[in-house]
Amino acid sequence: MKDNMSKRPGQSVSPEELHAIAQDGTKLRYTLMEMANEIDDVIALGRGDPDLNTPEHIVEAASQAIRDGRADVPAPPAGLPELRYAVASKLRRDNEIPIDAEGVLITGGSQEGLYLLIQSLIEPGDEIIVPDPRYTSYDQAINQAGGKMRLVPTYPEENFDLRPEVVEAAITPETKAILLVTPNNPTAGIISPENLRGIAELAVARDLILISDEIYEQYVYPPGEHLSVASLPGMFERTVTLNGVSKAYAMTGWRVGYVAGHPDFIRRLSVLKRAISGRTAAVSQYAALAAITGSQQCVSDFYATYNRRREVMMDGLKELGFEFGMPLGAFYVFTNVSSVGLSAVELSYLLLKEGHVLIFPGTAFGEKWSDWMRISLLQPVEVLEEALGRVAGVLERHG
Amino acid sequence: MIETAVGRASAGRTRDWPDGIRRVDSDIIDLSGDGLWEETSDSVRASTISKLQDHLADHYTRRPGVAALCEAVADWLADRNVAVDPSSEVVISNGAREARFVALRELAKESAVLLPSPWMRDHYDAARRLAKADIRTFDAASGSEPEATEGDVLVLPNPNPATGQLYDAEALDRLAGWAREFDLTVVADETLAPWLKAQFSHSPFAALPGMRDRTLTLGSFGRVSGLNAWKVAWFAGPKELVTRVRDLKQAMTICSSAPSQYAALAGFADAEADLDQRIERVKAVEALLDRLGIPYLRPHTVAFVVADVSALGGSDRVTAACLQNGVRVLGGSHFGSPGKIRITASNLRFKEGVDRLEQAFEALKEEKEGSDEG
Repeated sequence: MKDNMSKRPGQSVSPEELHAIAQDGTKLRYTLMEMANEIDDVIALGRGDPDLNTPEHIVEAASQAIRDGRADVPAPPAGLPELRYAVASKLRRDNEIPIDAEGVLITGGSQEGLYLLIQSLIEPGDEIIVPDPRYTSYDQAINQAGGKMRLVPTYPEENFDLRPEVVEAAITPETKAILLVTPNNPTAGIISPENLRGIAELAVARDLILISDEIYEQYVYPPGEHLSVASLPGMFERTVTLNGVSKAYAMTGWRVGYVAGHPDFIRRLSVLKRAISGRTAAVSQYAALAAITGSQQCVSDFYATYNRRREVMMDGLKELGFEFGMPLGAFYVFTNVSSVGLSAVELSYLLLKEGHVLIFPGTAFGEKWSDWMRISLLQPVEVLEEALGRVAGVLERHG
Repeated sequence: MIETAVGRASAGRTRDWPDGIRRVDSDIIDLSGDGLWEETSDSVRASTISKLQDHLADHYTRRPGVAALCEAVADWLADRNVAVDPSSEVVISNGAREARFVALRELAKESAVLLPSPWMRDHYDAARRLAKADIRTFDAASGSEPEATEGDVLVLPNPNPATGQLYDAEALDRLAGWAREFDLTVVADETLAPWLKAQFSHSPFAALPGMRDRTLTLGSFGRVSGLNAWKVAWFAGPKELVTRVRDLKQAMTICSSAPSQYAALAGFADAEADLDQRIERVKAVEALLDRLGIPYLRPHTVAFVVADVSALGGSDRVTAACLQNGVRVLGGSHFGSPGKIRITASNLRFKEGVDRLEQAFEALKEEKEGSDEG
């Protein structure tokens, strides 16, 4: 069950107003969510917030920490030692990253981790290479640091993989870092191990830092394969890995993420975190500890659920005549809607107002993506089927 | 009371982690913190667990925070003559520090920050190091406010965590007039207000004439016992200011920890918890300082006592001696008062902490008397 957002009847947004904010991805997403909140029978395929519940053993671990008073003890600013230790063990075991606990900083969600490390790494004038389309919260963090994004394209015909040649062409003397997001939000693409190796070689040759956002790592579908770039020889020293428990364990409300990297950098980052936000809530850290150290059957179950939904959605989109890059990861499908003859913003508006289906237009993830939409798979199969039916109805009326 | 993790943790950690983390510590009793380190009440625990088990905390909350908690904050402000719309003018933060940072980072990015002395390093650092703002400090008590430029940001911590005291009404009226004259934006850090002793009353700065539309108020759930480790606080004010600050907060952390928000909500119902135990702790510190003849500022809150230790060798000397004796206090360099230290009236081993303070102070006095005689 989700927090019941306060409804504000009568608050409405016109298509013109929506167009006016179409270039501000974050504002566009939140405006659409607020509009959707006014509609009682809306099917929300917008936000990347798992509809599944946090597994019971995790809830119970947090409850126990409250009962016995551990939740009342402020955790150290860098995080609970046992959680840092558990994260490091997981990264060594599952991701083959040569790290120990001093290389792990616990944050209030991976988004805070991203914000902190961008503020720490990027100086005014520095350039950071970002694959496009992208989750636009990266833009805000980079802008705050005075950095400059250099967008590099990814292509649907390549399933939105990121090629080293494309990255190399974007490198300038000001380039400091490359942001890698695999699996990717919004495209659901992954960066293939082969391309990751090529990008790693580039990073060494051009002395660049890699920021590897792996928050969706648990959800990679065949023939996709997840590789943590920090596990490649010599890459740990120049890679900062971002991850958390939000997506893997349906724990977005608990706000726990982590940054993993060289201990010297993590120590510097800890000082910044202490100044900016202080400690992360202890109760949430005990929940995260249970998630990472407990049974992983829940992740397998979630995986099967999302994979089934992905298949249903791909079939439905094919029937509607929409094209998409093969979603090899995460829980989204990024689809081209140009065949409708409307911009994605216009179609998003119509789908919401007439079909009561919330889907984000591609411009919420980059200016160029006005023919694309991101569909999240975070509804049960029967609801996804209902949503596809509603979309078909709207298209019929406007086709 | 059964032994809980708070008690065990305050007795010192005993585990070594085999994986490179340094052993946290030690037998040091920490009386230097910003928050009161206590246990949450049984009712807060029960209510929060119930919310977790109903899976209410699994997902992102509304971006500004759980609606009922925002409404509770708005009601609290309304009782103090500040009207805010809970749907758009209240935001729940991951603790007071995050609220301070996002407020100053956003509001002071193109203007100077006017900061009354003595100031807390939190405010100074958030403005100078993180927001990279130009800072002008001034003595608010003397009535010598500096020249300001339209749009500058006045940071007004009241009660002031650097003194543990409220500004008097005359000073506040003067500051409000100054804010009107120079069209200042005000960040009123009132996170200590719930900890005021019963004989003192606090009125939000935003309640003064003409201040509501220019003031962002930072507040805490400090009256709720034991929420220090839960990291939850709030900010509220006119929509234009709140929206800007909320957007930065959301870019950083999307929303605040849902379990912590539900704990704060449960605690709000409990918020009239009596302050007796806390008052007794402050009295114990005052009694110690009186006994040893160490001057101090008469605290208005139950949170801290600020002592003048110039005669014992100054802040650095005294904090080092205390630490050697197993108790940590906050040195004056952290709050712009080099001759002073701040003692937090909280810790489950508080009494033992005061005993250690006494030993440290007495040793310093003897040392000083010895050197004077020599």
